Amino acid sequence: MASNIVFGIEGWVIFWTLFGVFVFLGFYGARWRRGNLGELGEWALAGRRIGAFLAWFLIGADLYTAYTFVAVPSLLYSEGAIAFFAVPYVSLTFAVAMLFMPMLWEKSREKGYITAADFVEDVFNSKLLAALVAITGIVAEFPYIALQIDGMRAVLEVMLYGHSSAAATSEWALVIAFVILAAFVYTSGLRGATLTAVFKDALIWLSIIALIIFVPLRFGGFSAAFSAASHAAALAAKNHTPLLATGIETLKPALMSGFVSLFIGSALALYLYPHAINGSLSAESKEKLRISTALLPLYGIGLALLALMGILIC
Amino acid sequence: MDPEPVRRLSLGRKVAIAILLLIPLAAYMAYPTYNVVKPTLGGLPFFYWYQTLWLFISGVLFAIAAYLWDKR
Repeated sequence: MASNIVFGIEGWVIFWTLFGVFVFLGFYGARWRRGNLGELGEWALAGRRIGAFLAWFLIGADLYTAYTFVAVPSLLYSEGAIAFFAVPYVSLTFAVAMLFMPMLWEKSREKGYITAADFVEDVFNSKLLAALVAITGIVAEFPYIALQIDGMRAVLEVMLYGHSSAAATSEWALVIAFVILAAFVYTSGLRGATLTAVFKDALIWLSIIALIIFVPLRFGGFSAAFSAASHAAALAAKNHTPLLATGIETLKPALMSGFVSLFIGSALALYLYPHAINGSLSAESKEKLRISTALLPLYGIGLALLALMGILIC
Repeated sequence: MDPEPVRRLSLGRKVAIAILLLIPLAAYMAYPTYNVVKPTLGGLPFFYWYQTLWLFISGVLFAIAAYLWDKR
């Protein structure tokens, strides 16, 4: 499959142009809606001045990560229908967020909290508990970040396919990407991240639309894809390397309780991540946060479409 | 901006908001209703497009809940 892909000159021109815009936005963020970046609230939460529309993009951008592009579609392809737990998860997590985040926002604004650990320290009067919450948050982000880096590696592999020093180049590319990212986050804080999030999401919506139009044209529509998937699964099962084992057109009923526990657990968990709380606390007002959180399931529609790519490419 | 206590919301309002937030949960938990293939939409089994449709419906329901919550 990969041998047919050649990342031609147009690919490289587009890539470098977009990359340039991205880096510019990251560093320009320091000037956007100026604030004293020496103050932690300005750096971490963009001075709590993110309006409803931008908050929607910023928090939505947390959804559109390697998880959406790489993990869910490939899970759908390898394991089958159970991967679609991501869809109920997306809807329900925002109901949870709508209940708790505005309250946290208000308390944080009042008392000057920047992270969940600050809140915990104040409410429970325990530095130890706050430290544990902070450490847990940091550790929880590690696999999340590792997933992003792994996703980037997969993309780089495809981009550099056929080049002699592809492996070494990928390693360098990852290091450089990480250094640039760390640099602009350090200098512009959340402002840089917000601007790049908007840009990134515009690109993502563009690619989703393009994929939804061109993949069926190239590979045939959904009906063709689902029958191809059934054949592939039957073949793989014979070779003792199961594919799409949990169900193709529907989920095997025995797995339904697993499906439900997956989406309930994930829905409750997302807003414990520091980056989700961080996005919420940077909103301009409680009301704006509430409405942008309410509308975030719409963002998830893109995730559902991307997940289905896992089947469409069969 | 001054902090507005939740007590400001009438009981009826609170119940309406709670119901709006719980409807998608109920829909997704009622899995026998959607773990089927027909009716398909553009070749896509019901299992998939129904859940995706509910994302859109959730957005609408939650937006109404947000409006009810913060309306003056």
